[in-house]
Amino acid sequence: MKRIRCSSSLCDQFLSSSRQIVPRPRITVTAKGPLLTSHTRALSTTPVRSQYYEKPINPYEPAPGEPLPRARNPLNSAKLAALHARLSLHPSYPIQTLARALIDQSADPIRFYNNSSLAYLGNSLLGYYGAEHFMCTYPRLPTLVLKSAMAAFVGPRPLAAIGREWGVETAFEPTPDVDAGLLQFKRLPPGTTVKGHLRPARSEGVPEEEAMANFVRATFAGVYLHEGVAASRQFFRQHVMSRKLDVDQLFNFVQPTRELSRLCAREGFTPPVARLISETGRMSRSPVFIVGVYSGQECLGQGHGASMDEARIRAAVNALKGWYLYSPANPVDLPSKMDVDPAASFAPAMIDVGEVIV
Amino acid sequence: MNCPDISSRESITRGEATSRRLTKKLRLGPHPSMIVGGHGGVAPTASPAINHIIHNPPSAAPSVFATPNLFLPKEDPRRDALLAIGDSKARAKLPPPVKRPYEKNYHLGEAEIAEMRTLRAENPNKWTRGKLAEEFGTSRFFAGMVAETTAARKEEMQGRLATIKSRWGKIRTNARFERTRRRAGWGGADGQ
Repeated sequence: MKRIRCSSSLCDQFLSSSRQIVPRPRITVTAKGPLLTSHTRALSTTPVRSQYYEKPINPYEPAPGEPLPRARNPLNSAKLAALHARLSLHPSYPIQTLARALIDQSADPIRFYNNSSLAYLGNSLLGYYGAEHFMCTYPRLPTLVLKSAMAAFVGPRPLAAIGREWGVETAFEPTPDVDAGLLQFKRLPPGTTVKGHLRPARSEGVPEEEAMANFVRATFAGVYLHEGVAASRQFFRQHVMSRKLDVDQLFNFVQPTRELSRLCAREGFTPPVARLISETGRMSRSPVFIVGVYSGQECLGQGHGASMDEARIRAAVNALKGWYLYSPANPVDLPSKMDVDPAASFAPAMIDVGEVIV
Repeated sequence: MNCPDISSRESITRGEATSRRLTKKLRLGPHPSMIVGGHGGVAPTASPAINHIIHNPPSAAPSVFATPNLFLPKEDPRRDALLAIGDSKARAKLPPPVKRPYEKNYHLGEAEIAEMRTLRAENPNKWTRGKLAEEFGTSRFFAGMVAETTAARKEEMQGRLATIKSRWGKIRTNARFERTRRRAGWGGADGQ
């Protein structure tokens, strides 16, 4: 079978009519002049016609002995066109890149045809946008909480959930004849351990969650490459930041009262005192105490509980959350704002001295 | 953030001869906070001439996202505004402390601490942390912190505890386990 090369210029045609038969003119390849492979051409801005290749010329092209890419034609897939439209991707985002984002490393080991490089780039971008959001919005967040918040937004599980919400389906097996609009990856046998050193090699198969997350990362990288920085920021805001996360639920203090005392000592505040604000049903089966923790005249936090100790500890926890969840008053300027417009006004983010060490 | 007082209402007792009178007696007027200009139980003399908003949210635990004034950094514009409001208010009487406040006296020096350690090492069965705390006028926590007991005594005490625990029945074992689990959740793990 001939290797089929597709170009970004066909994307517009395809969007208008997915069933249109596309002419494939034969182009004579001269020895000089770098000829881009399909993946790089899809990423380049100059429109190139589809063509057949007789021999590999690009040094990054696979050697002649290596297997040819799978014969999946992105232009014949209605699912791909639907996905492209559903994600509101710009026409400059070629359908071929979307098709490539759906091919996992386990389905096609050659990196020129799978999404590994795109997923790598997408992961870096997602990490950058996620980290800058949390570090600027909550500058005092402890490292562990920051990490779990990042995992909750741009970790494999939420990304896989995003992919499923986009309506991407998985191919049962990554054979060459499957629809190009399906997520293609090799499944692990049931009961395989996927964590730790017992995890089999990637070529043996990957969990669906991982393949789906890599697809979302690769799609994100495609937005960055084809549509630019502003579009990728918007895409991140719309698809990732629109998800809700209760950051205040990520804390777990082991010694909250002690940590609050250390905090007050460090910052030069009056030592905290727990005070009983209100109570009801002290001698009953279900009493409720409301305790506030005060530094001088100022109430730092309030907690309730069925015992004085519980209320006191919860009050300390809430006071610490009040400290760590501080957020600057006005909408903060994220550093990536300058990537879009270097001439824009920019207020630097607050940098905190760090969490309390107990 | 100001912690509000919870005002107590007069208890209502049933004591009317007829249901009509009782119903009439039990009929409650609107809470003063719901009446415009009626704060502190003062009835409004006239309806306000312009549109108004009654802000009377249901009682709820304060949000942890509202940073206390003290915790706002110096460069935060909200700090000065909130401090100005706080200063204008009269100094409210603070609620009673949960535990009796005490002054730390820091009266023990290196020599005393060394002596505590020596005593503890010589005869850990006699010089328990309670004894040391009593002798040196400090807390049991501090005594245990500066003068740790010997490994042999620790092991013996743990063995004794294990013997006691082995005598517990199913109900007590389960209750103690649940209590530990609940307590661990107070730090934020239980999501409340």
